[in-house]
Amino acid sequence: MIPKYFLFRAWLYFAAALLIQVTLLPIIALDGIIPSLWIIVLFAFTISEGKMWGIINAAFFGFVYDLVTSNLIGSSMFAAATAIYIGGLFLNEQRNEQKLKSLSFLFILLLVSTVYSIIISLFTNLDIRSSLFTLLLNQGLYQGLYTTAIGSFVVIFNARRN
Amino acid sequence: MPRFFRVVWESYKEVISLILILIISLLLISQNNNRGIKRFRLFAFSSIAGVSSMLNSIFPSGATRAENEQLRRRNAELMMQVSISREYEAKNIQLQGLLQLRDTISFPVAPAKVAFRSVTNSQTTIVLDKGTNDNVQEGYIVVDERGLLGIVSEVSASYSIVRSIKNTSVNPIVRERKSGYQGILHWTGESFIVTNIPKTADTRVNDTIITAATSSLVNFPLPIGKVSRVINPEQGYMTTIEIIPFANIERADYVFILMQKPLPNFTITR
Repeated sequence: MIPKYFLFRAWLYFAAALLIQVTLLPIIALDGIIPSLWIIVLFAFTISEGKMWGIINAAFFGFVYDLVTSNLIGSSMFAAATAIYIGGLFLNEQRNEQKLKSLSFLFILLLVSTVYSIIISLFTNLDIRSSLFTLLLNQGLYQGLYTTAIGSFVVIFNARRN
Repeated sequence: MPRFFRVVWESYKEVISLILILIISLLLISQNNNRGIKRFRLFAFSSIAGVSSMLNSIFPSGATRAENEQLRRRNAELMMQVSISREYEAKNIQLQGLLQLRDTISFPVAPAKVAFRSVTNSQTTIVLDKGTNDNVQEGYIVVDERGLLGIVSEVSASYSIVRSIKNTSVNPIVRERKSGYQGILHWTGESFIVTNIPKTADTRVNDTIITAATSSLVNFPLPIGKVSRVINPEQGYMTTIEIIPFANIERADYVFILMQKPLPNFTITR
């Protein structure tokens, strides 16, 4: 069971993404909004390895991310697993690899990262004075859009490679 | 019966796995103040800080580092002296010169280097290269040369984790320097706001906000920031203001730890 869901290459990419996430990405933060690079890595691997792999690894990656960023432990685990599950609803059992070089990757990534950001903000910085609209827009959509913009490099890279 | 379970698992394995993960994560969230989890987090954070320090040491520093550190220490001391001087000045005016300002005030500050900084959308956490070996304790106040940066929340032998003011769980009582009216500082995830300031305070843009003596987190007058906007000038019974912090939370590489607790039995909770 474990070898099937443990992919060394994915953890290597995740470690690199995590390092960049906590050290370099804050420099390119736009108005305090930081893209979630590790979510891009997780979702890209979910496309190639399957929904089940994505959900289980979202939990592990989320746990490590919480530890490293001193977030509320369990919050990223919860948010990432839910977001990947929702994103997984748009994936087929086969022919998903094609998505890595298509626009649909970006649309689903936008959905995944927005859902992730909204759930995380509900756990970590829910401001009761904010309206639902503010929560969706400021805490979710902006970060989702920024993450998707960074994620577009994955599509460009895969399209060029093929 | 096993066949039934196998059929259910094959049909709903993703939903079942998701539900199990959500239950586990909710259990973990409820256990965040657990001592074991805290230790585990401290260990993980210290390891990352160690790696980060190693990476930093690869790039040699200039000869001016020692001098810079000295100057920064002096800056921090002066900032605190200025802050407390202004406090005395205000009291002086009130008491018509009855109070006398001491010429020199010495503060037990220790310089520290930022070993690692974790910045997420919701919070900024800093790891310093000083720990219990340097007598750092939980609850110590951390400043840079401009103002309050955060509070030491966890300490290991060589490292300490600082919960910066850019954290939803750090809410010190602050006050407007001139009027003295108090409010509570919040980090909303997007900006710093101070709530619960009475309407009579007449707070204006560019007024200075400092920590209040009644705060259990920081009971020492330290500069926090300047008022950038009054959010609800004509609504409600209390004013909410937005402030811009003085401290350089995302960029400060060298900071100072005020080596005294605000209260003897102080503990910080998540």
